[in-house]
Amino acid sequence: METNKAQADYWASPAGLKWIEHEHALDSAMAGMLRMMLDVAEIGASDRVIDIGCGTGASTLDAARRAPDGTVLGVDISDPLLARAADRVNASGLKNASFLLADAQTYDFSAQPFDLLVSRLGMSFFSDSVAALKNLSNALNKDGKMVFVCWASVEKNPWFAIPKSAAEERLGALPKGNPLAPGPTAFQDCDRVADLMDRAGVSDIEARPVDILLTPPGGVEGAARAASKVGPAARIMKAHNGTKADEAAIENAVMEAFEGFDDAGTARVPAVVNLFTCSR
Amino acid sequence: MTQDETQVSDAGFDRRMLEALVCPRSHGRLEYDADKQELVSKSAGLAYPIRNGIPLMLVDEARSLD
Repeated sequence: METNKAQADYWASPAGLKWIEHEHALDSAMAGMLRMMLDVAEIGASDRVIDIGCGTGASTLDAARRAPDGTVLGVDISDPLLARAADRVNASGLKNASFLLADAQTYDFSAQPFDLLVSRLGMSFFSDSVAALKNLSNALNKDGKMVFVCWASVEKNPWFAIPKSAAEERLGALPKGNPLAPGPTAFQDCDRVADLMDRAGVSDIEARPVDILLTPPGGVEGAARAASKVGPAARIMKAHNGTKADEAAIENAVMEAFEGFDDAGTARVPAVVNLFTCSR
Repeated sequence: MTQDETQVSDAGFDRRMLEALVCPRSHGRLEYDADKQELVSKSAGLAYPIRNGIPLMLVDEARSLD
C-alpha cells in the first residue's frame, strides 16, 4: 500500500515539477532556513544522516558537505525530483550523498539506523504524522535526533500571504481548505506538532518559531516571480484557469507589495518557520 | 572489489545503505541484481528497479516475479 500515493502523484505533476523549473530561485530563497536548520543539527563529520522530503536535493548536498566522512541519504516520494537531485550530486563531485525513493511514513529504515534526521519543509505532508514520526524515530540509533523545519502559518509569511491575496483579488478566492491537512502549512501550530511528536513516543521535544529571511535572486522582480509560480497564487491560477494576463497582473501586484522588502536591489522577505527537535 | 560493488558505486549508491534496504512489503532482505539493476525481494516475489542509481522502494514501482 502506498499510503502517500497522493503526494507521489502531486510531486510528479506539473505543479510539483515547478520545483525543478524554479529550483535555483527557491533554493536561494530558502538558503537561510536551511543553514539555520543545519547549524542547529550540529552535524558531525562522520554522521550518518537521513534527509526527509529532499526534493531536488539542496538540503542533502549541504548536509553531505558538513559530513565529509559520513553519509547522507535523501529520501523523497517523487521520481522526477530525485532524478534531478541525483544529477546535482553527480555534478557536485560529492561521494557521500545518495537517494532513495520511498514512502518515509512506512518504509522500514531500521536495519541501519541514522545518527540524525533533518528535513527542510518535508515533514508536514504525511497522511498520518504520528505514524510517520514513529516510523522515522525507529530509523534513528539510540542517541539519534531529529531536527526539522516547517512553515508557520500563511498569515505569518508574506511570501505566501501576499501572492495569495493578489491572486484572490484578481481571480477570486478558493473554497477555504483545511490549513492543517497534509501540506506545506500542516505543522504551523508548534503545540499541536509537539503533541503529535509526544504521541509518536519521541523525547526531548522542542518546538519553536524562528524568524528568518527569504533571499530569492533577481531582486523584487525575481522574488515576485518565484512566489507567484509556486504556492497559493499558482494554486488559485490553476483552479480558475487563469490566463497569461492574469498571471502577469498577479505577479505585478506581488512585486509592488514586495517593494517594501527591497534592500539595495536584493529582496529580503521576512518569514517564520517552526523548528522542531527531538531525540529518539 | 567485486563487479557488484563497482556497479553500485558507479550508480552513486552507498554500499552499506544498499545492503540495509528491505522490501517495503515483506520487510525481508533484498538481493541486488547488477545486470537488471533491480533489488529482488524473494519473500514478496517482487523486483524493485534502480533508476539512475536511485532504488525505487514502492510496491507500485515493482515488477512481479513469475
